[in-house]
Amino acid sequence: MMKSTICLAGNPNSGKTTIFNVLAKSHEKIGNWPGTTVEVKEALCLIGSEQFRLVDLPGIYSLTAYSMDERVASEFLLQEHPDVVLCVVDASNLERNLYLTCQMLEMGQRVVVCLNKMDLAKRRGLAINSSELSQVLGASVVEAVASQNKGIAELQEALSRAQQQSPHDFHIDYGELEPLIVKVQQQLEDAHIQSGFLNRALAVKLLEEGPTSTEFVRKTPNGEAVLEKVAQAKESLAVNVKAQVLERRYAFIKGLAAECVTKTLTLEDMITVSDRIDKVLTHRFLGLPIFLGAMYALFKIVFTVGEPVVDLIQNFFAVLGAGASSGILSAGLPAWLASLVSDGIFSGVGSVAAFLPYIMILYLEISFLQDSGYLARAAFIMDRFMHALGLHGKSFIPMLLGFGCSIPGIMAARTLGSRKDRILTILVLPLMSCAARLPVYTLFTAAFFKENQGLVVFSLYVLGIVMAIVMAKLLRQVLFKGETVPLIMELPPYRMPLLKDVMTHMWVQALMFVKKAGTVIFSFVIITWALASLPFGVEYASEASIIGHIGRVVAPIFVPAGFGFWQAGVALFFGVMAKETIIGIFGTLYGAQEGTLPVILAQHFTQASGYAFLVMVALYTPCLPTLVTIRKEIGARWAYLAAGYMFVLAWLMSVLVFQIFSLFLFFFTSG
Amino acid sequence: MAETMILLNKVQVGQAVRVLKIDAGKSLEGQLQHMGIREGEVLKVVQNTKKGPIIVAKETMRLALGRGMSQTIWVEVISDVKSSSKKN
Repeated sequence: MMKSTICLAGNPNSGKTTIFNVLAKSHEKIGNWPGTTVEVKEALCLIGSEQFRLVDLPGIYSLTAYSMDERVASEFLLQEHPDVVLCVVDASNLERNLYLTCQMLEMGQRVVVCLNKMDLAKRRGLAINSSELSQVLGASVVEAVASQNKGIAELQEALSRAQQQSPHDFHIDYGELEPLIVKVQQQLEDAHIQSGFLNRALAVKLLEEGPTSTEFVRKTPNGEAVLEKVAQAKESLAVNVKAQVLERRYAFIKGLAAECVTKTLTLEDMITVSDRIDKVLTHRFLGLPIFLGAMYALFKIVFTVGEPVVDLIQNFFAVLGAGASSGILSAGLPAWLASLVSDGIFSGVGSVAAFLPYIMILYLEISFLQDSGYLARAAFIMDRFMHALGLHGKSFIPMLLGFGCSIPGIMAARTLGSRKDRILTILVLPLMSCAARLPVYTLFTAAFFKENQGLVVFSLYVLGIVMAIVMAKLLRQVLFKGETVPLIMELPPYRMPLLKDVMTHMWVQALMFVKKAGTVIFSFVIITWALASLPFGVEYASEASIIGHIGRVVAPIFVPAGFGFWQAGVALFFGVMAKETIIGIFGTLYGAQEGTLPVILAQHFTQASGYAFLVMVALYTPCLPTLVTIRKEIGARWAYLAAGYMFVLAWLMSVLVFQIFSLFLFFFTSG
Repeated sequence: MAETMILLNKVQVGQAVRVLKIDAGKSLEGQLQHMGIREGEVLKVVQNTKKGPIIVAKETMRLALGRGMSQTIWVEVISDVKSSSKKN
């Protein structure tokens, strides 16, 4: 039997993710987020004894496609047929949240409404008559406080009940437009157009010029003709049909909210704790220093807390590798096997896996900032600066996520309304140093800048940001002339992030990293090992090996940057697959266990060429998965552009840095 | 009425205003509408400095609007800054 699908929909900050995490508790399985046609988070959930497929739509305000997120959601609903739509509604902001719910009901979905954040609503002096709301909407309404697990049992019950019921016939009265709606509905029926929407809803959508629905109809066999008839019918009326539809719907919702909500506080009383915090955190002068301080603390914590754990894992792998190797040899197995296990697997994969703690801490912090509501403030603070670059504050959030991994950052750019802004943001986003580059930074700074490790790593992050600024400015002037779309962004109230949400987010990311280390990185490490051992009889990882030849071809390009030797060439070459592999490759090529790698590196690099190499790693061509994501999101030519411009930029910068650094060292040491 | 109509970016912190007209083009107006900023609605300006975005409150919602955005929203002031706040 096919599993029933429950689809979660709701405004941003309605607590949708929390509900998702609570419901998905038993059989968590996060779908592949850079997925196929429609990317949505997915999990299995168990209600009673029945399994459901739980789909999390992006947080949206409406099904009208103003942003990519809204487009994705409405396409999903148009094409798929979820059995139940769970509308998560922020009870403290009922009127605005009801808009999406009403759109769902109009479409003919089986809807269960979850009135979340009831505690907050009460504190804000709002009393909600949920039974009346339920009656008018014709859907179950469940009061909940998801963060405290309140109302979840009732919610599950309502979901399994709703699945068996037929959808309630929900009607908004569009007044004088009704005859027109009936007419369009008839035309759709005559043309045999079938969608995931009720025909009435599709008719209304056509009248309000919803882009996704219009496109959908256009693609059907008789679509063009229907659209033409709709246009004619609209013109025959004296009123602005689109405006009229919206006005009617808003009026209905306003009336409904007024009927169901009793307010005991006035606007004046609504200055909340959140506003008081904002007075400081978004302050004209204090805001920016506080933000920069927070960013510095973020990375400081990553290193301070992570280092002892990383050391521990490294030692563990070193001991394990040595043990396995001597075990294999003493068992009389061939030496090449011992080499594969020790040089290839343990030093390659081990060196990457060791950095897991850093990545986990970084993600923990980013999701903490996101859930607390501070990330939106960061965007607010940065808006003024971003504006000078031809972007706006909202672009800042994807870029900040890029510090974790470029891919979720690129996906997050979907919330941007304008396509130009989106492309521009995505193009400069990979310049933000992702977590995968961090291990390379750590390794090299440990080898060359032991005393100022934190500062040097920080400088690379700053370099990425500065380059992003320069490139954004440049691209805006060359490719995307014209006005920036202004900022519209909700600032959610501050709250203490839920441990479970933060942990889940971190865990999902960590798991992906482990998967990557286990599959992509593992296979590249093996390939490197093989290429370094072939042709037969060659000394392991010597210049005469195949890999030595590859490296020798690439190496001359990097002579002006100070690292024109073949090992660096090979590492950079494979680094395009995944940046973390750079260490793994060095580990394999130098046959070093993790602990000894800094010492060996110091024999090949100088401070100047070491830093220049880091500049290269910080800025050069994004990894393959990132490029694939860019291609999927905005098209192949942009992916090529990103790959190309970043390589050139990185090369220029690292040559510049090496030359200046060398000159500086020369004068410094001689004079 | 025409004389009290001002742009949102000129409103002082703490003042409550009623939205009279939004002149931002189809797409932006649509976005604002869906977030609850429509003609006739009452907002309160929570933060407004000379540069950068402003923050408005609509009941419990706080919305950041870019400076350019705020210059497309015409409003009328319906309540002044409370006398208790000593601001010049």
